[in-house]
Amino acid sequence: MKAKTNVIVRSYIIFGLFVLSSIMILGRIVFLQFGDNGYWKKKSESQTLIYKRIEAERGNIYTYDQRTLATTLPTFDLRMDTRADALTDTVWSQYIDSIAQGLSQIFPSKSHAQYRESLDSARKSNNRYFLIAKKATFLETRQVRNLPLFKKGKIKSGYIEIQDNTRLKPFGNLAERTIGYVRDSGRYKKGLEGRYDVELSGENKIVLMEKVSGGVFLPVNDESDFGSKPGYDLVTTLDIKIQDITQSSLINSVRKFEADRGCAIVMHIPTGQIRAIANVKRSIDKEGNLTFEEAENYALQTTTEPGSVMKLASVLALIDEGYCEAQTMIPIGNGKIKYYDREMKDDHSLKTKNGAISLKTAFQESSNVGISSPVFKYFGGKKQDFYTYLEKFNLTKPLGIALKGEGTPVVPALKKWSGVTLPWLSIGYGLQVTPLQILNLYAAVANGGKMMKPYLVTQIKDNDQIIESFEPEVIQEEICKPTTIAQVKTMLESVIDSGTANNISSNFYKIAGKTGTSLVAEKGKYQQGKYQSTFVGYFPSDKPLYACIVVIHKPNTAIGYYGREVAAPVFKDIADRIFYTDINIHSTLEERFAEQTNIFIAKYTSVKEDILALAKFFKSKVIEPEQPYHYAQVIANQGKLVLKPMVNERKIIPNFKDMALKDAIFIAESLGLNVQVKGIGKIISQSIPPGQKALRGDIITLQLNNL
Amino acid sequence: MKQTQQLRSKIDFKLFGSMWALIVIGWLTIYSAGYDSSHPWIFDVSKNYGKTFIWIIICILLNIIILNINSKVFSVFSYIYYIISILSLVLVYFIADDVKGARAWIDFGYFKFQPSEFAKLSTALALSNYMSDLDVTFNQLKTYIVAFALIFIPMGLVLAQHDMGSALVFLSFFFLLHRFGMASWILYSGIYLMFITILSLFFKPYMIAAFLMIILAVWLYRNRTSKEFKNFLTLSIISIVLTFAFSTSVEFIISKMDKHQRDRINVMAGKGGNDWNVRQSLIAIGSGQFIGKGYLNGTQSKGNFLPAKETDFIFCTIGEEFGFVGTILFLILFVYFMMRIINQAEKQKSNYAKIYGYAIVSIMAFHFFINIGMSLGLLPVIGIPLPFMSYGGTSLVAFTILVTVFIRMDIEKWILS
Repeated sequence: MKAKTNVIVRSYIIFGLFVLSSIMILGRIVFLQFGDNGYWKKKSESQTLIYKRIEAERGNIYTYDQRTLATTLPTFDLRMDTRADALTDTVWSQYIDSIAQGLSQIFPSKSHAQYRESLDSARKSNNRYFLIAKKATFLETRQVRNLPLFKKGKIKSGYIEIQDNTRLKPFGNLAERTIGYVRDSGRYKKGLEGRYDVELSGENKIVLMEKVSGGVFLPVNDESDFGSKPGYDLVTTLDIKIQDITQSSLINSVRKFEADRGCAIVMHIPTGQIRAIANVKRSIDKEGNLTFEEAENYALQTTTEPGSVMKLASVLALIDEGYCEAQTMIPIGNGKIKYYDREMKDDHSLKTKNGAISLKTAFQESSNVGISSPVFKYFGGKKQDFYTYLEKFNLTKPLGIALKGEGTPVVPALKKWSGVTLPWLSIGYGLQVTPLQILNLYAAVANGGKMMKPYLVTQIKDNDQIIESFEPEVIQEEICKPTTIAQVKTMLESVIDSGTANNISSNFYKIAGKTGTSLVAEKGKYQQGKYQSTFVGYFPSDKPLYACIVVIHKPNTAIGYYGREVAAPVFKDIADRIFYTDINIHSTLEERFAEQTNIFIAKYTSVKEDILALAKFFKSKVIEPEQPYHYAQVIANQGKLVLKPMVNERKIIPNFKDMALKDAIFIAESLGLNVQVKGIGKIISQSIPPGQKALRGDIITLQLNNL
Repeated sequence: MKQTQQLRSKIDFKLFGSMWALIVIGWLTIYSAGYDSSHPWIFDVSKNYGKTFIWIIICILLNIIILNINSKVFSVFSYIYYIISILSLVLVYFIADDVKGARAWIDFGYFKFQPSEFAKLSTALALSNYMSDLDVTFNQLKTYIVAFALIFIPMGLVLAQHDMGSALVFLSFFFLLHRFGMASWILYSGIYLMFITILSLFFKPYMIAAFLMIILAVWLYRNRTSKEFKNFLTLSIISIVLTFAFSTSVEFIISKMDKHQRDRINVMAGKGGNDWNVRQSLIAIGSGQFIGKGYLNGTQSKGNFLPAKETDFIFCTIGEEFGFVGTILFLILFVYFMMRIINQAEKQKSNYAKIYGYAIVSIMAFHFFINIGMSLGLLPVIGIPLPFMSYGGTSLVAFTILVTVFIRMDIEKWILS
């Protein structure tokens, strides 16, 4: 009995110790986590051990020939703690003047006195985080860092640098909308940047970082590979030269015709690669200035009624089914026809032979009656067949281009067709398609009936390693019989030779295409005096290389609104400038062109290799400068081409006036200058006058002509 | 076969389950403590959490084996295990590399083996074996000599490796001896000496002696009429002298200690020194507040602040990431686990199993209180792991075997009946 009690007592003693220890532990935990007014929690906050996001370096976007369209550069926000402990009144008055002077030299937007004043007032108002400059470049930052006082470091001067990454587009607003952007941490995604955000972003990392002296954070885990994985690069199909040409031509036209907006696409026919997409919206900013900006990708996204350019589809269908030939005579009477209760008429009266014209003439003169009446006659009872052609031409569904937001064609379903649907469809009303979808049909005709899928990205690369490669893709091997294509091609050429677009014919190469002028429907009604002016075609038409569409929306009718007046000249301008500068085209030319004079390349400015290649092709005699050169202007002189070097080895800044932006950037950057660009179009002035010696790291501001 | 099935159903699932819950929680906590975003895969064997997974697999295999073999394998051969264990402790003294002042690990390349962990197991087995002998009672001096020898031999060898934490664990067997009849004054003296030791950290020996003198004077005054006053007086004088001598020797020993040990003791006593670990540990736990920062979101317990974040200070991660709620739930689970062993030990019919049950509870409780007490800054930092939680393969395996053997013994009580 006693032994048993003894055991119980002993157990209780041990149990008592157990409980006592437990209570102490509990009490201690409560004290630590709740006591002392969160003393330990505050301690933990002051330890500045935090999770930081290491942003991976975003991949670059390149043109098809590896020029950089978008890249990421480190930039710095520069600030100053004007009340840093070491900044006594003596120190302040001793240095502040030289700092202000230095800043005004580095950032000339403010004068010496202005800097002096803002620094003084920042100190007066106890600003401990005064902004000196936002998004300063590395070079600027290095200069600021070396100013008197600042070079003594943060503690002694209050100077603060915060690094950030900025997406830089070396070609300014060229193809801006197609390159796109990702904003607000991915909330807004546009263009290639948005579509390929995952690939470009790389892998960000959340890393536990520890603050060390000097405000620098270092990763806690000393893993050598702690860093994030950089994003992949994109190689696009864009050609910056063609993009530049396209965009500036388009802007000029939108400006000239006071249009609402415009867009243009240039596509490489054999592959379907898109070489340029330009979108321009004309608007007036708050200060009352005209601006031309790429706000939306109309070319890919906006569906509108195509108008007369749609007649190609009708003609293709008619000939392919064997209902008509190019020379088949179509009665058009007095240019008016009634389908049920609605009347259709031609824009202008045409010369007829006994009240009839050939299908070819109807096409080249864009006769509404001449196209719609045979369609109505032959397909009226076989509407399904016509619809099948639309499907074959890929006008009923998106092309599936790898960018978000491609417009879906709006074509009424067959069973909803009324009696007048078919004739109006045949001339481009009652359905809506995007400019790209129309262009793709023309490109398919140019390509001998083989329809390629348009695309924008050729490669996704990890440095030099190709991660994914995109090859040209065929949508439809043969949209029509080859004989049909051949007939239609001559009809397209006749539009330029003697039809509605005879104003843009060229002596040096052949263009094929079609004009379009359509009434704009808004709120379900056609608006009088509001037109969409279109031209779509390809060149050189004997061996097609590029297809291009130009759509100008709501030009001022007082200045002009027909496709031939508004859109066709833009096409011609683009085609001319591509033709004169693209060596690839010239291999398709016949020798006879070479006998033409030197005027092709006179006044042409380009890199040495291009000029020499062109000169050799044209068998022109070239007089090269004695000194080494890289970039030159060609001047015709007594049947010879004299090359005037644009930049000589003494690093003299040239006159950038009238130069295309990409060329100017190329030259300025090769001189070691930092380029800032304002405006759109061609260069009208430069901040450092020509003739001065270029100093590495200097900033030159180029003013373009839209403002 | 039928018998095996029957036995399986007799496994004490409350004990078995709580042990495995601790193992899994431990693994997840190690993952969080050592989380490295460049190796986010919990099975990544280049990291401690991946290695732990391998050890867990080994534990599962050991579980299956142990639960299916007769526990006699452990009890009958317990002296042999004990001797092997002693030999390995001797061996480790000669071949081990110096790690942070301790020579406790034998390096096998991929993993390190720590014989002292197994010494706890074999000592528990051997001590249980000896004490379960019906002839052995604490009425004999021989019992004391043998029992103390069984404890102090491995303890001395571990101490020789400069692994003070593991050595102190062997003292936990005194609770066991006390429970089974050891003279009570030994435990009380032990506790008294520990108390004096702690006081010696804060006060000079003469101050402690003077304090004791005042208390005893009051006591003697109140007993001034007692017949045994003379004896009381003698006893008082002896205890004051002994206490003074002990306190002085503690002071002396501390002054002769290794620097890191002295630091830890100074920290405890609030005398400054290198208080890094404890301070960081307190910051981590304190910053957890009521519900913590969330799993994998702790910052303090992961930095370079806590070098032993995955081992000795693993409790900080729980405190920081799960706050008060999480710590309490964890403590409840652990206490429940220990109570369950006591509960089952009391039900054992075999004396061996009962003593063994108490042996493992003693070890567990010692580790538990010391480790958490040290994480909370209540006790000096001595490096002993939190069972099932701290990273360390040998210790995880040793603890698992320790408990699983008991579970097997518990099953066998059904066979006996």
